[in-house]
Amino acid sequence: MAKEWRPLPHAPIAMVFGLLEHLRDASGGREDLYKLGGPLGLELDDLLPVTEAAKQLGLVKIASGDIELTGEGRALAAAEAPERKERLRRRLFELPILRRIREALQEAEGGRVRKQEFLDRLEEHFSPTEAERQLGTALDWARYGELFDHDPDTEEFVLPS
Amino acid sequence: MDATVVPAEADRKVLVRLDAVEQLYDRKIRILGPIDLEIREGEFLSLVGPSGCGKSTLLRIVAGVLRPTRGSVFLGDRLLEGVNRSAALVFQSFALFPWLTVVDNVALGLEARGLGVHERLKKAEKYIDLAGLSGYERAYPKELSRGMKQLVGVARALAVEPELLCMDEPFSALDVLTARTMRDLVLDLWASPQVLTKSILLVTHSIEEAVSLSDRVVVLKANPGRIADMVDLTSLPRPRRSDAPAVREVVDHMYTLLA
Repeated sequence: MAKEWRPLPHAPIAMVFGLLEHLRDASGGREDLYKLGGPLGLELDDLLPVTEAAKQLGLVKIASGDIELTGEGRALAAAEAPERKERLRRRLFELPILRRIREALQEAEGGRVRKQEFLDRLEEHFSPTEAERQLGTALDWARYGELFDHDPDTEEFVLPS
Repeated sequence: MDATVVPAEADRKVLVRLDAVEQLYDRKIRILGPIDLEIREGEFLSLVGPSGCGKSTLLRIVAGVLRPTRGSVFLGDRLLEGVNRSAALVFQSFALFPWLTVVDNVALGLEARGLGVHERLKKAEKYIDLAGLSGYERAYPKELSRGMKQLVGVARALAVEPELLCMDEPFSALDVLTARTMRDLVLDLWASPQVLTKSILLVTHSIEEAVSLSDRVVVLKANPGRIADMVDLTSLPRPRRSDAPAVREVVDHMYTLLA
């Protein structure tokens, strides 16, 4: 698959922050991956998306069974709410799906594009169900970073007002 | 007293006082009490205990949504009759209206308090922003993760600017990582000078959670629900790491009481 449509892991933002805070308090900002499972009680279906999300955002490194905060991950974990939002917003541009939607909206007249257009593009790479889920996760993260929003009346993605 | 000295915990104004409150089932089986308890201005108070200890019942009595079988509830000097208008509730199940957007869910409680539409939106925006939810104003609950849903619940409760925020197991439907960041957020909101609510009553079945957050913890035993101990933690600085020796000691003490 083209790297430009790298799939987003379906992890909520709040959970990514929880992971960063957990690692911040672990000794050396590092933890054995398995300890997030058994001892902390995260199931694989929670653990894998959240670690993958943190990795794609450049906030953690995963190597030989360990997960460790990067410099940016450390800064984000230490930051207060408004700075956190700003820092994460910058990282969100690293995610191809979010960046491409944002760029399309900036080029579009009135900053609006029908959601269906993005679904059609994604369906070239994902099943219809997964394409819908990808857009759902993209929208959730985009709202947090105030990159774009969804207008339910017109079924369009829009730049934030 | 020197005016510059912060009053000691015990000297603070009492917001809510429970006086010999009892809950009976079928007028003969005692479920809870008698309980005497004070909630003071500016404090973070937790009720912790196993299922059946009556902690949620106590919270509902404080909020005035449940009338105790015996005993009285006072707000300051005034006897509470009916719903406690100086308290707002946050539920484990979030209790959001699915057909309303985030901003409308948060603004909803303000309508009941008689605010005009402009004031309502302004206040809703303020608390959405403080809760870190800006960007989600137009989202519907079904589009939100569980953590974000609970943040909307917290923003909605704080927006009515109650004297007391009552939270009933607010983090127990969340995964461990989300719950962790939500606890930090609630502490940040509580400490924020922009948030007017300065007293929190938390019901939880997690001793670790109660100890990490509270100024005072009421430990309750079950059958019938009664107070086993009241632990003052004001001398433990926050953030409290679960592996700190002083924290471990308090947690051990509470487990021992209940075991």
